[in-house]
Order: sequence, then structure tokens, then C-alpha cells
Amino acid sequence: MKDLRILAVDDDRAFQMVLQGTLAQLGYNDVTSVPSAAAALKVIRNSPQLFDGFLLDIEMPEVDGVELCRRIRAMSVYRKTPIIMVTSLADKKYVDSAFAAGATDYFTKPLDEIELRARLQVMRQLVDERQRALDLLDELKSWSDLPKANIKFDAPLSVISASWMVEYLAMQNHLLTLNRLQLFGHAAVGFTVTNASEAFRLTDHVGYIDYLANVATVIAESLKTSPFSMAHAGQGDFVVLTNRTAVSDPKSMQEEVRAGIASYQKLYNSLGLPTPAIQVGRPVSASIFSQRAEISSLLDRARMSAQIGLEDGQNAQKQWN
Amino acid sequence: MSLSASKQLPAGLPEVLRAAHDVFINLTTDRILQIEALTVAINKGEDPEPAAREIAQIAHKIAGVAGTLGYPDIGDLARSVEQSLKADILAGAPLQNWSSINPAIEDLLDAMEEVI
Repeated sequence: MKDLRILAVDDDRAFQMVLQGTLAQLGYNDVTSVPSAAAALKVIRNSPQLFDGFLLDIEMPEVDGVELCRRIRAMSVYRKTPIIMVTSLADKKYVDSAFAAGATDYFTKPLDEIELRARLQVMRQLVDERQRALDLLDELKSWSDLPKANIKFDAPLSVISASWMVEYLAMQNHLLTLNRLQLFGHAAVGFTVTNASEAFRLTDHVGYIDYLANVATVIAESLKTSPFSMAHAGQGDFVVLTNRTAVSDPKSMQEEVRAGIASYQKLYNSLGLPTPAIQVGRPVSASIFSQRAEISSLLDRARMSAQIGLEDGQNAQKQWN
Repeated sequence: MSLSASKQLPAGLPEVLRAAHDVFINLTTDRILQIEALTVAINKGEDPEPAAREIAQIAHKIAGVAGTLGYPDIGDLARSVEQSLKADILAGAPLQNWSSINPAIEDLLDAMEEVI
């Protein structure tokens, strides 16, 4: 895991050292400490690398931590960087003004290791979310075929340029090229975003692709190491084609995907989009004696199973198998 | 003026905080002298507000680390002095409770002297 690059600002040398020592104990070693707002602004301006987060003491002579927070927030590159204020109990009344100046969180002096650890976990989460959003943006920018318009909700769409992402049509065609034995070794699992239409309505085309790309990545992460290919079939439906023996229990897959998506809830809230509600279907596969028509409907059956959901799908699944 | 830091760490203090502890002890001597001088100035009848603000600021720094470095009593005394002074400054009457704050400052100084 990448170390967080932190700038800590406090005018008390002893506290700086306490903070640095405690951070090192918690595994955070890339910490720069400065004694004043002026020194902090100088370091920020001259630093070739961006800081991942800031720890600012509120009570400092001349420019205090609240004003420093405001000045950092005014820099476009630090508009969303976590800023955690450090305050004594006597100064807690200033926390409101710190939040108004753009602070993300705060903790109180004297330092409590458990509290500090919790705050840094929040910082880490925010940094990861931000990185994720930037990666997705890069992905979209580098995608030369990005459709500028005419994205239809019902239509299949290749939402992310990853090695495992394929066109839905290509996936269907691939199935048709397999012989019976090869086909028997495959399973299709459907995933559906039940509120995708709402997201489609609330955002523009690029935003919707971004939205689906995030879902695709979270699904891919839940599949871990097994080789797979994934296609978006339209209407917020994804189908994953993988090795029949490598398929995990759909319930645990669903839990994992939902937990993965939940960790981006703040991001979705900030974008004004609903957090994707994802249902996973039961894995479907062809029998060794399947007819061609059944083969081509394999992916549709996987989608349908996801739309029905695991709870309601038990009886339906019995009919298919 | 500063004395060399105590090599004996308070019980239970992790080794990683040794350097911070030594800095704190070294600063303590200077801070005792600063607080004493400011208190004398107030008792002589000089403008109390700047002096009270400065004492509160020093107490703030002590309160922020003393407990972590194994001196919780000093931390508590410093916090109490800081809060009382700030409350009076905020009320526009820095000497309003001086008769009770002055002895609290003396208690803080006594506790600080014990660690150097």
C-alpha cells in the first residue's frame, strides 16, 4: 500500500515530534513537519510532489490553522485533499469555522493513538476514492472511441478499456465459436444495477459511462484471480463469462460487490448520483447436450437471473437447470 | 536557558517518543521562566491582556503533549490554566478570576519544576 504523503503543521516542536513518532508507529513515514502557516505554504509551493493530506493545528500565532486551511483549499490541486484539524479541548469552538473553511475532519490534543488511527483511515479512504476517480477519468480520456452522444440506456456499451472488458456482441459470438465441451466448461453470471436508469437520467453520457466503469471495476475486483471476460449488455446489466469451476458462491459475490460499491458512497453523494444497487444472479451454464439456441440464450438467462435476484430466483433457477 | 533532558523516560512511554520527551523537558525550563516573568508583570499591574494571552498560549502547548509524554498531572493543570485564562480574556476581563488563576499557575510551575 502506498504511503500517504502528509504535511503536519504545528508551532510546538514537542508536539510535532510526538505526532511524527506516533505516525511512524502507525506505519506513516512520509511526514513533513513545519512550525507555521508561512512555512507550510512555502513547502506546499516548492514541493515537486503533491501532498495526500494535511494535519493542521488550529491555534498558531500569526496565521492560524483555520486560515491556513482556507488558503490550502483555495489552491485548485488541493480542493479535495483531506485536511484534518488538530485542536485542544479549549479550542473546540473553532472547529465549526475550520469546517466552514474546508476542513475534512479533526482530532483533539492530547493525542490519542486510536483516534489518530481512525482519522488517518478516513484520510486513506478519501485519498483512495479520489485516486480511483482520477484513474477513471484518465481511462475515459485515453479512450479514443469515447462516444460523444447517442448512448442509449438499453444498448450494450463497452464501459472501460480493460483487458477483460469485451463487447456484448463479441461475447455472444465467442460462445458460438466454442465446441460443446468447451462450452460446458464455462459459466455466465449476471450482475444488474437496479437503479441504473436513475443514474442515466441524472447525469450526462460521460458521467454515465464513468458510473458503469466504476461498477465494472468493483465487479472485477470481486472476481479476484479467476480468468474472466465481462460485457455490459445495456440497462445496467453486466454479464461475466468465466470458468465453471472457478465460480464463487453468488451470495458472497453479491455481498462483496455491495461492500465494494458502498466504499464509494461519498463519491456518489458528491456527484449527486445514486449509489449503484447491485443484484447478482445465480451462475448459469450450458449442459453438454445443449442446442445452439440454448447456447445463444445463455447470456440472456444470466441477465434474467440477476434481474430476478438471488432471493426470488431459487425457483426459477430450478426450472433452468 | 535550557538544561539537558532527563534520560529516564516515564514508565510505559514508548521509545519512539524519547526524542519528543527530551525536547519537552528542555522546553520546560524556558517555559517556567517565561510564565514566571509574565506572572510577575501581571502582579506588578502591567497591562494584563497580552501577558494573560501569552501564558494561555504556553499552557496550551504544554497541555497538548504533557499527558502523552507521561505527565498527565502537568497536562491537566496546564489545561485548566489555559481554559480559565481564555474564558476571562474572551469575557473582556483578563483579571476577573486572577485570584484563583494565580495559585493554579503556581501549582503548574511547581509540577513543571519537579520534572526537570
